Amino acid sequence: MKNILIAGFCLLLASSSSSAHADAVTNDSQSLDAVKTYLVDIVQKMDEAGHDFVTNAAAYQAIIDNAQGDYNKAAMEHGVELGELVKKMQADFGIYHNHGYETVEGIVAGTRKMVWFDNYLDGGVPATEASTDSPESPLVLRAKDGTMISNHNGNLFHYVIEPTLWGTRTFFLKKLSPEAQAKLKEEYEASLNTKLNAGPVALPRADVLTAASIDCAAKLDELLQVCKDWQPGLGECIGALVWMTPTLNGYFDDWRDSRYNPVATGHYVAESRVLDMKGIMYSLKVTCDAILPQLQPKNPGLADQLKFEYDNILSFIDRVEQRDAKNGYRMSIPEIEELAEQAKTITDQLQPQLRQMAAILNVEVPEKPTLVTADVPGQK
Amino acid sequence: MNRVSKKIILLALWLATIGLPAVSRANLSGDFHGVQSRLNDTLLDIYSGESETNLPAQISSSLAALKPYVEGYSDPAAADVLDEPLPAQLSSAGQIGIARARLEHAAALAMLQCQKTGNYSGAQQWRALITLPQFANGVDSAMLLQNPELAGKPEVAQTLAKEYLEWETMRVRQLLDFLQQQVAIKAADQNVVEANENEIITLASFPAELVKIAGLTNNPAVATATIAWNDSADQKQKVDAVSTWRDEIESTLPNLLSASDIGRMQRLLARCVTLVPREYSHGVADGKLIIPLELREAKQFADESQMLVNQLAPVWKQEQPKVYAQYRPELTGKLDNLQDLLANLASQDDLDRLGKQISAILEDKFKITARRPGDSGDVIDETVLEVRSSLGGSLAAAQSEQWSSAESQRMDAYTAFDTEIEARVLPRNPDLARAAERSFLEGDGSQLGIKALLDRHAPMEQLSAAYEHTLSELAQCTELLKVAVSPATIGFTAFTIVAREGLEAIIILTALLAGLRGVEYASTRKGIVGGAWMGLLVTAITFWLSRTIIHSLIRFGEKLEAVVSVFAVIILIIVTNWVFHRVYWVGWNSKLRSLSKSAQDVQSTRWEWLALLGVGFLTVYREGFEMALFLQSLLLEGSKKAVMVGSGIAVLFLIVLGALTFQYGVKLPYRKLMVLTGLLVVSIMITFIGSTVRLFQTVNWLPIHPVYTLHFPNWTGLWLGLYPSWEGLLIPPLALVYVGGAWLFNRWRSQKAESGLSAARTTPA
Repeated sequence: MKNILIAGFCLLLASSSSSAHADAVTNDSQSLDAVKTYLVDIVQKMDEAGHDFVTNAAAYQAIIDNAQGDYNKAAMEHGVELGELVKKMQADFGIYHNHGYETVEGIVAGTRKMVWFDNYLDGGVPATEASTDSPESPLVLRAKDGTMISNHNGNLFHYVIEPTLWGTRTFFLKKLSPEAQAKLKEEYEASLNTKLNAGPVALPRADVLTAASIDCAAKLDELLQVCKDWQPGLGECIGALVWMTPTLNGYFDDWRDSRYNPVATGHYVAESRVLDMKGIMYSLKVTCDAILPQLQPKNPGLADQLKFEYDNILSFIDRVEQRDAKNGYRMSIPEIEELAEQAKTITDQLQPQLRQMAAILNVEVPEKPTLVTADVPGQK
Repeated sequence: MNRVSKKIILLALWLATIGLPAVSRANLSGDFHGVQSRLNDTLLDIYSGESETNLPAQISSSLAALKPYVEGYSDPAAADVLDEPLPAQLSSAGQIGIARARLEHAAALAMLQCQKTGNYSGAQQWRALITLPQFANGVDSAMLLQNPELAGKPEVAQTLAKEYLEWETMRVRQLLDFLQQQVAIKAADQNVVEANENEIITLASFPAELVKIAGLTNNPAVATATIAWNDSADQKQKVDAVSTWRDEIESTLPNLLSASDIGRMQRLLARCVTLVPREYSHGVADGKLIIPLELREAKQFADESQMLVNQLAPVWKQEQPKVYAQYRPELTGKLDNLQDLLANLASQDDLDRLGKQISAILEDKFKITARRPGDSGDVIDETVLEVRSSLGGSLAAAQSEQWSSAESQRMDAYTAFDTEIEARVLPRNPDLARAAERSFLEGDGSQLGIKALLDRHAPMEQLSAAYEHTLSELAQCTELLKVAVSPATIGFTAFTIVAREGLEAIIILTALLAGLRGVEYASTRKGIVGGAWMGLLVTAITFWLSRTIIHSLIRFGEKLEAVVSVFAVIILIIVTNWVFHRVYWVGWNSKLRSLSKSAQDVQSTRWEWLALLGVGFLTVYREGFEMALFLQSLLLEGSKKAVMVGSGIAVLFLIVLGALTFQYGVKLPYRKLMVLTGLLVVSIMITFIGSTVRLFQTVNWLPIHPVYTLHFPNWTGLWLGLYPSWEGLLIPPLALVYVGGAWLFNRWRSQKAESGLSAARTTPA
């Protein structure tokens, strides 16, 4: 009886202290479902924003069509309305791209089933700039009347939608007459109740926005369906971590370069890089967190370390941003270099440890997903 | 307490012990990373110009926060590392550098302590905290610690300790690269230099305990040198100061290389140095860049050379301290100059000259050659294995996206191929040599080569196809070289030469002994036969001596083979001359006869004996000497076994012949045998001249002017000595011209002598 009491006490001790372990050891596919839930949730929101983009682009198109395609007339008569629609479409872009795609890019670009979408929407470059490392975008965009807008000339987000909405590529814009510019400036000043140094000199082409919005929504529909159908596998998830984590180095190199000349390259680049880094790394952290319950009972030390490393990347990016802001975006060169080196040390550390995790879990790390091996929608 | 309840209690205790470390584990990880983060942030503050008061005390107390985790360990090594006071005279940046490195050493020591005491999860946890270098490989040791049956073995401790030394040696090199880069881009100030310098020195000074467990026989030296840094010095002085210091640090790093690694790396160094001017000549002409890929390749070889010197420095310092002290600075200086010449697109002559000077230092002082020592057959086998393994490693690295590692292994494969295989294939089949070389580099028009694809980070399918293509080209080259050194050819040649020389000796001896039949000549015969046996003995000694001398020169590889080949050709010319030039044959024979006669005329028995011994000795040794030297050439070019088999069969043949002749007095068709072996010797001579031309081309003593339009089957080189280059086609037939000329000359002289004689007979006195 005494023995049983001692044993019971020991068991109680064991069960209380190892309750964390017991909680952690969950069903494999259950733990990976968290990745899918996260992904579907974000892509769902992206898809909704994509369809909102279609609505706003259609409204924009209607105003231009009502003015018989005369952008000066449209600006003179519906200037504020057009401006509002552009703002809405910019906000849509923020949802499906900045706070949408960027936060799932680590998973989408890191898996064979979805990497095609990464190239089409966010990663593909114009055919003239393409290399095996940066493949060309397959995007062929035509207006409703069949006019060619973009033929293998870069991805949808950064080579079509972004330059059209922010007016950085004249091909996607319609220049306004001086009268229309003056009228638009006057109306904007009245609407904002402030004096502007300069008003808009051009408007985005409606046919580009219409075609791009329809294509964007269609592709996001497809991506959503692929995400819903996807059953994340352990190897696939570890592969995404192995292949996408080192991309932090490239982003940090861009960040470092932008810090050397914050005025010329702009705070914008640094800020956008920090956002990109956070987005990608967050999606990888979600993936890693979903895998760790399987590693925890086998090698708790490594599991703790990996958890720390991904948390650390995110907090490191925050600390970098805070430090940058604290110094008025004018860090000393040794500080910039040391930060970049610390970032590199973190990612250098992770790859071998991820491979150890794969070996311990008896999983083969798949090849890096590329367009050659990718699943292409409609070609299965 | 019954057995079941005992088991229950044990099980419960075991479960409790698994559960218990959860809290302390989380604390260790958090505290360890907390210390690291604080050190990193403080360093950034220092770089940004913020100064904190009482920083050294803060750093020390940070490290002390980790002490409770190691205090309970029986071995105090990890606690000692954390306890060691920081040098008070150092700047705060320098102290942070030291503290960062100490964290790594402490984690490694704690890991080993846990492993030793059976706390494998503790070992795993400490191991996971160690900062890894880029491209570290940690899978094997991780799996060892996963297996409780293996994890406690001393071999595992050794593997873990070695792994740590490897990681941190790599980290030291990466930090050195970082520091040099910071200095090069003018981003380094006093703080940057001191932080990195102290981190590197501390990391490079491995705790003795670790080195001991790793089982290193050579204790690495302690890194103490500091950088002669001056913030106000000019850029060049700063770069030089860090570069000189790096050399010092590199030489103190532990030698983790095996003997075969050292040999491979030394050969690679010699090859890289040789290849720099060559690649440069392909990429740059008259100071103008023609093919960027080739120039890049040359620069890469130069960088690789510098890196290899750094990696080999600890080995040289321990194994050749005097040579190292005297020539290492010169070597590094010249390699620096080489890089400068490449950067400035200097003249080819300057580059050639400097390349030769560096090669001379490596060859004469450090005794390093690009070629593998040993006979060609083995060298080819070993090189093919090396190339295949490097290519396999390169593809695996590419598959893991480790592009620089993939490229570095491709370069290893290429340099081995270029020096050992391509140089041998080029005179034999220039098309194949060119195609195979291109497959390592940019490829041909239809398919990109490995280098070009790695540069593009090409998809795996394309890369795999390129590696497959190169391996198939390599297989073709091997096939070709295998044929050229095939044991059958070597065996046949050995048989022919030994049989021929032996036959000559037998014939002469037979002729000598023919007139010495009968009991009265018994002692004369004994003398001659004794001399013949002595000749055989001295032949064996000559063979051994020449083999020993040649063996001592084996590092000269094919250069030695080429020189010995020339001797072999000379011997063959003498032998063929003997066949067709009656004067030699008759002259030598009559000289021996007269010697033997005069020996019999001498009164003194002692002199008589000596003279008779001399006759027998000279008869055999003359042939034996030629044969011994000739066989050296065969031994260098082919395998020992083939030479022994060929010679063995010839010896058997001679024994039978000797027995028939001397024992049973059988009259054999000596003349026919002589003519037959004579013709074989002529064919061998042509083949040998062809191979000698090829060897001269292989070692760059003779130019190669390939005839691309000609495609010879392999046997033409093997049996006729013909290779598709102008030199290979024109020089070997000269042997036929010589033999034919000698024969015609001989005939003309005989006819002239005969007609003179008959004229004398017909002329009345």
